[in-house]
Parts: sequence; C-alpha cells; structure tokens
Amino acid sequence: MMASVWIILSVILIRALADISFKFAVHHLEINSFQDFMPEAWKALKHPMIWLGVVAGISNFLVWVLALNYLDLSFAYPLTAVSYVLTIVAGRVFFHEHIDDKKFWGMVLILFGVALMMFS
Amino acid sequence: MFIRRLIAFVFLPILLASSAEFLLKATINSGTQVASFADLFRVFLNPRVDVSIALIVISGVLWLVGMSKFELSFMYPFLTINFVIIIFGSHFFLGEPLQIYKYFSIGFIAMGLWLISKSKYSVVKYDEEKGQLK
Repeated sequence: MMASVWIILSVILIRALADISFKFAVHHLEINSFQDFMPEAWKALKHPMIWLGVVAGISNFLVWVLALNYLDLSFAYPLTAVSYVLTIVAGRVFFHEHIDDKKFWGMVLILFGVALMMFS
Repeated sequence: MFIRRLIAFVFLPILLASSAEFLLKATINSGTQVASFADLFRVFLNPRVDVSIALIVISGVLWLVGMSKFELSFMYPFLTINFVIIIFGSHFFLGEPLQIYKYFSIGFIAMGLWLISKSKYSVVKYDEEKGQLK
C-alpha cells in the first residue's frame, strides 16, 4: 500500500513538472504570425527547461507503467487529476496567473474526488 | 464544419488516449510484469506498448491542434469524458470492480474541471487589435 502511494505521488508530481517546464520554455515566445513560428520555436528548443520537460514527459510514462503494474487503471487514472491542481498552483507561483473563486472551488472538488477514491 | 472539427480534434483524441490506456493496462496484466529497473525499459520492446505510446502521441498532437481551434474553456470539460470512459472501460474490458464510490469520485473531479473551465481566466481569446492572444 505504501509503495503504491509513493508511485502515484511521483506520477502526479512528474506530470505537473513536465507541463510547468514546457510553460517556462514557451511563455516568453511571441508568435503572432506564421513567419514568427520557426525562429520562436527554435528559441524554445534552446531553452533548457524544454529538455527538462522532455525528460519529465518520458519519466512520466515510465512511472505510469510502474503504477499500472501495481494498481487498477480505474483507481490510478482518476488520481492523476491532482496534477491539474498542482499546475494551477504553479501557474500562480511562477507565472502570476490568477486563481478566482471558480478555480479555487474547482480545485477543492477535484481534491475531494481524489480523496474519496484514495480512502474508500 | 463545427461537428467535424469537434470529432477530429476533441472526441478522436479522447478516444485514442483512453484506448491507449486500456491497451497498456491489458498488456501489463497479461504477464509483462515489471519487477526490476531493467524490466521497466524492456516494456518498450513490446509492440503493444509501442502502439499505445503511438496512440498517446497522436492523441496529444490532435488535442493541441484542437486547442488552436477551440477555446480552452470549451475544450476542458471534454476532459471529463476521459474519466468516465476509463472507469467503465476498466470494468468491461479489464474486469476491474466498479464500486459506487468510483462514480462519486469521478463525479467530483468532473464538476471540479467544469468549474475551473468556467473561470474567466480559463478563456483565451484572440485580440483583434493587438493581433495576439490576450
């Protein structure tokens, strides 16, 4: 049981890490037209965070395989919704994104649904 | 054609992603046990695992194209379909138990995602004047 908690926790953390890293790599880009696309995409490829994102993306798949090795899909899959919550919090911390009432209560509902799955 | 775009860039990626999960789990269940670190990399040699990776990648690309065609707040509630397909599919294809708390759990998660998508900060609009995303 303890092992499965650690595995699912890493799935959630690594999934959020991948998304946040990609955001770091692309959020300074200014793609306003098709001509901008190639030079701006090149800038993103040179950004170290995109490679952290790639590594996290691949690790995410490996840890997910490990999770499915021990857990039911119908149990493990809903738990990954916590990564949405982490991503929203990271958006607030790193990119000054806004969290209004709807986002806050949406996060609470997700965490409640996940807790229900974990402790039933 | 709104309906065609909806099928191609919203429903199709959802279907592909959940099919990939079922294929992956079925493959792991049918004896591809992961007991060591080396086993974890050996699963890539299994063609069924490779097919499921391909499905996940294609699904991700289609979903990204969808992001450019529809508003984020429109796309996000469709994510909840994933959870529904996964718990019912796990029961019918993989024989996993479908307890009542699973319905409630994905119900709360779905409501949460729906509420988040209704936030005004979840809407990305194209700014005609500045010629960029707002």
